[in-house]
Amino acid sequence: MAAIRAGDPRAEERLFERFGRPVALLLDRHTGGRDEREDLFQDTFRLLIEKLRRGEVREPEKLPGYVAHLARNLATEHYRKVVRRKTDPAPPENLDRPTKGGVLDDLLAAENAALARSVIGELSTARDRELLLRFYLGDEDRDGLCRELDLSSVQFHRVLHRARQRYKELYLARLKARGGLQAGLTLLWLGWLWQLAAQGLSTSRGGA
Amino acid sequence: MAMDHADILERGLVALYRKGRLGAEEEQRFEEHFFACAACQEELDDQRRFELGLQAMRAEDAVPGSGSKSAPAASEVLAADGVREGKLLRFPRRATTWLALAASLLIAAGLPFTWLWQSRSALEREAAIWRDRARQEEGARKMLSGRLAESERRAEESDRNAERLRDQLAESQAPLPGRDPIGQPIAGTPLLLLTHLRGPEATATANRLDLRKNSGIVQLALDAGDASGFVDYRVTLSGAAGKKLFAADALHPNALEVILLTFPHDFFAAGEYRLRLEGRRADGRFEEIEGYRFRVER
Repeated sequence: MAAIRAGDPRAEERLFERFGRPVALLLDRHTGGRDEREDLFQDTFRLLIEKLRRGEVREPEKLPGYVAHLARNLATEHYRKVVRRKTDPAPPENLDRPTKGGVLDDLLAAENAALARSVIGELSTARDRELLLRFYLGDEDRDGLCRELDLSSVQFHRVLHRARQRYKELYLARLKARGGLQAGLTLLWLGWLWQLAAQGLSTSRGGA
Repeated sequence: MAMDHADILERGLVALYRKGRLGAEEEQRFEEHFFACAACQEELDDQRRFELGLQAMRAEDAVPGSGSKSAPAASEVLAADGVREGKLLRFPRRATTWLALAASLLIAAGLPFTWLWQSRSALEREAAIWRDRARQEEGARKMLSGRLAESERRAEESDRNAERLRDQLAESQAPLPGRDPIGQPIAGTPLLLLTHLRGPEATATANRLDLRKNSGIVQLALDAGDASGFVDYRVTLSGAAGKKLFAADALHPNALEVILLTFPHDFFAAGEYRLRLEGRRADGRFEEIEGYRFRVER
């Protein structure tokens, strides 16, 4: 933090390395994966660096909570403005999937869909399959599903966890089988984070 | 209050967070937790990927031309098609398979290039930065080399000056042969007792001053004789052409009744010289006593 106050660019890069992923995950959750998460990501780091330079945060142990708070507030404020302006035809609460991307996104989506089909096809019981689909796609409440399907909370999360783990295994297996294809996807994801970080850094430097 | 990771796993808070099913306070506490928890970040990433896969699957299975942009609810799909035999579990059609295969190949071919291109761009930027630094370092090195060379040149010049000054000091402190015999013992000084010669040819054998093997000083002795009645004496030395080379007056004979003249060794060049001795009377008039001719050989 002292290095950032001193204007050391390497310290800013370490800040991106440390908080880039959690900030991206938080914003992905609050934006529902839509494109504005990229702008919010940049804004978060620009503001964070400005505040660190001004010495507004001085206790390193409080930094993770502070960054989370900053990113969350930016996302909240963004959607408040959108609602006030009423220029967004689809408020975030009504959007159930991310903004459509280009051809590459469509291709990746096809790959992901195939993996999801495999996972669901491998589930041992019809109840588990129904649980997954209704929880994730039907957007139904956990407690209601548990009651209806006669599941405890622990069983409920175990099914979800196993499904996610299986998806991950298939995902990683595909990486291996296709000789780096998914490595490219992973790298793409990392590259996206890196690009956002670099843009945020240059914006922050430009604004400083 | 900080969250307990085991409790998060047990209660499945990751999935609930992704679904937006946590209360505001609990959501905030969970976010503060996963910002410092790599395992939760990994779990969130897994969850995100899985949701993307399910959403993509639902999008593929959406009924074309239904007019609704949102996918049908899962319960509807389940009710309409069943689970195992339904669309959600249907494997891709032939065309979709080929499309997916082509897409995979395209991605497999394109992604590494994309990544390499990005890496290359980053490396080029970094290389440019390092080149700039190298240029600056090279400039600084040249400047310092120039300063070093200048310093060395000045040091050498200073050394030379010091050496020259030392030489000058030593030279100034050293006795000058033939010029400054003071303080130095002198022996074997050439001494020529001049005698009066009648003819010019006589200098071939008499009044010859041979300086070829000597250095230091040379002395000429003039016999004042019995020329009494003079207050003091004056001598005038001339060259062969009559040019006056030296004169001294108020001279007195020494205890041996000779007037002794001392010259530096290199005062004389080889050749003929004439020395005239005059005496001064009490009334101040000078009277020539004798004229000596002598020859110097070097």
